[in-house]
Amino acid sequence: MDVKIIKEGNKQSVTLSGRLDTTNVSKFQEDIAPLMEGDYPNIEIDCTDMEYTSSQGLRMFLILQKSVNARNGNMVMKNMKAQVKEVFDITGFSNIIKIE
Amino acid sequence: MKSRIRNSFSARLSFYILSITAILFIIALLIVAIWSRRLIKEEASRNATNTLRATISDIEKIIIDVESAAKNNVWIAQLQDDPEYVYTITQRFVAENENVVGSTIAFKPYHFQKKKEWYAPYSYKEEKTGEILTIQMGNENYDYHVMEWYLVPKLLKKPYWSNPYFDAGGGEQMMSTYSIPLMDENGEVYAVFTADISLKKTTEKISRTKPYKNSYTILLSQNGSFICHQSEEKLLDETIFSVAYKMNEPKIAEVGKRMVAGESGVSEFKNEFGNAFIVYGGLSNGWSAAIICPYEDVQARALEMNIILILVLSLGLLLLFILCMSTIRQLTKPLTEFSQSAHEIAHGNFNAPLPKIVSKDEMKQLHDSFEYMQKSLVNYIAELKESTANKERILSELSIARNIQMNMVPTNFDDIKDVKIYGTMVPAKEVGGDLYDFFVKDDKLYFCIGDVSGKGVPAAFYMAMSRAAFHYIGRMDLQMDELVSHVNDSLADGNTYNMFITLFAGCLNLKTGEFTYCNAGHNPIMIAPPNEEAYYLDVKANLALGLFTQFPYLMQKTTLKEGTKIILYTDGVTEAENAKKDQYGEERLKNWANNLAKDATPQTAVDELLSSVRQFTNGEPQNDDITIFIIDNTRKKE
Repeated sequence: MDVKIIKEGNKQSVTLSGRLDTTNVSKFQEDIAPLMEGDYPNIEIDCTDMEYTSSQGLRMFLILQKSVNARNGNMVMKNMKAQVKEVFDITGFSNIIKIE
Repeated sequence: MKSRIRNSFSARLSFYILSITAILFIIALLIVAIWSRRLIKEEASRNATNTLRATISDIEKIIIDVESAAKNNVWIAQLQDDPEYVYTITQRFVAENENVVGSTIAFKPYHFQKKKEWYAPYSYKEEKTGEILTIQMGNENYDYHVMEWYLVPKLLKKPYWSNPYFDAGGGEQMMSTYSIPLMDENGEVYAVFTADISLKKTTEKISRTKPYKNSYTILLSQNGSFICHQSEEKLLDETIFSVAYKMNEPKIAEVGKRMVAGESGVSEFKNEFGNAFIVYGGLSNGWSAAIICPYEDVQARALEMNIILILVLSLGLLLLFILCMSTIRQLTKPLTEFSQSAHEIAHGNFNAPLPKIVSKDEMKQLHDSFEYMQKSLVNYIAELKESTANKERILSELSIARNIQMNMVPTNFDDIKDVKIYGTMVPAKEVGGDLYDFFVKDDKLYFCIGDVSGKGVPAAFYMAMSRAAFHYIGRMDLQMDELVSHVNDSLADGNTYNMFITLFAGCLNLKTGEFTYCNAGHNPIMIAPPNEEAYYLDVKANLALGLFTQFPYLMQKTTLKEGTKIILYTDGVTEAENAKKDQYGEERLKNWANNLAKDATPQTAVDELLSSVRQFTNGEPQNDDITIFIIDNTRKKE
């Protein structure tokens, strides 16, 4: 899973690509650490090239979402592939994470 | 020996050192040989020259001795006019002079009136007895008036050394005569006073000093005939020039010319012994002497010297080899001992004793490295033992944990009345995060299936909590939404690590077929009614449990026909991957359900689904926990 973060003022644009599973979830946690800092974050995650996420990957997005909530910020995931969106839907994560 | 040299370091090194030394020795030897050859040649020439000088001086001594003795007696000879007394004079002269072997005063014809044509009283030493005999020498057969020793000095009117001749009339031996003419007051020669020297004796005397075994000394007269030569036959007939002619060696003739001219020097020529050199020098009376030395003799000395040198060097090399061997063996002895130590260490004796090294060289470094290696090995092995023990402990604890976890999910399905149930749970690791559970209360079957995020020990803890929560909250006669909400609250409380579990919980009225359920983010379960196509149950996602307290879970309701199979599973089934990373998938699961035999028991169905998944993954490692739980709501016949 490749993570690219571009910061423009308060807004952080994140681009994800590849699979997020047991083998790389720790690395992913390190990669998204910069997103866990700062007040009123405005995070936009582009999921165009994201192929798969395991339940541990879901947990990462949940942790990020909770962090954003605690800092009164905003987070949105965009352009999610159908098979990835399905995981978010089935688990009900679509209910707590904004997906466009 | 060859293999020993190859195998023994010390022997090999010694051999190398020795080879190099030997090469150096041989080069040195060659230089010395060439040099010594030249030196010895020079030395031989010098040596021969010295010998020649000594010889010449010896001969000069004889000549001067004889000449001066003769001259000293001239006046006595001249005094006598008594012919008979001449005998006494010659007799005494021979007796008093050692080098004189014979002497006469030979008078001209008819000098004494009463004597005859020949009058020459001759005294000589008898060779064997040394007795001095005197004879009258001249007669018809021995006409001394025409002989060289008489005629030449008479004509020249001065002393003269004769050529060598065999004195048949007197001394009976090879001799040369020194003649002094005796003159009267008119200056006329009336007699010749002679002193003979034995060439045999002279030859013997000068031949005694030989610088080399085959070297020899010659004495030449003023015309080149041999006065002394080791072969006597040459004395009478040969001159140095005739010899040169016979041997066809012009160099000899050249030397002969120089000698006759009274020069001295060194020259080379070929004689019967091969190459030879000759040193020559003149005498005061016109004779000349020479020493001839064959080179073979000279070089024999060089060869002798070289052989001694080779012997000494060989002995030196041998000593060097022995010394090298023992020294190197001594120096490398620790290597052999290190090898033994290494062998012992390899067999597990890490404290194997090391050879004691007192030097501070590479051997000491090796020793220190060995010591360090030993210590490191001991430490490493200790750590390894500890970590292995830890690992074993963890493994054994995990094994116990697995047993505990496997006993948390129901395994006894036979005691259930009215309904057929079967389930199985296969964790990807020792322990897993899946769970299923059921119980029957008041003709209602309460059941659930769940999947904790992640795997292994963390998931297993959360699974245990979830199972406990369902187990107790489930028996509180709650509606399904209330039940799930309570479980959620209980799990979300204190869940700082943000673990979560997807859970499907249902309640089936075994009498009416009424089915109420609440889904918390779990995969939609599959319903396979009898004689109808299987379908995924319409479920609201709600939200996985443990994330937010007070989340509003919604309950759903339906009715199932008798004989319907409820197929519950975790995503370990649908997301099982083969080598191509294809997933088993929901479509394949649905097809499997449609092809399932109608009379298949839940147990058969569970086994078949599991083997279908296994067949699909075809030996690929199991990535996720797999749980399958199947309920058949066919009433059991009583």
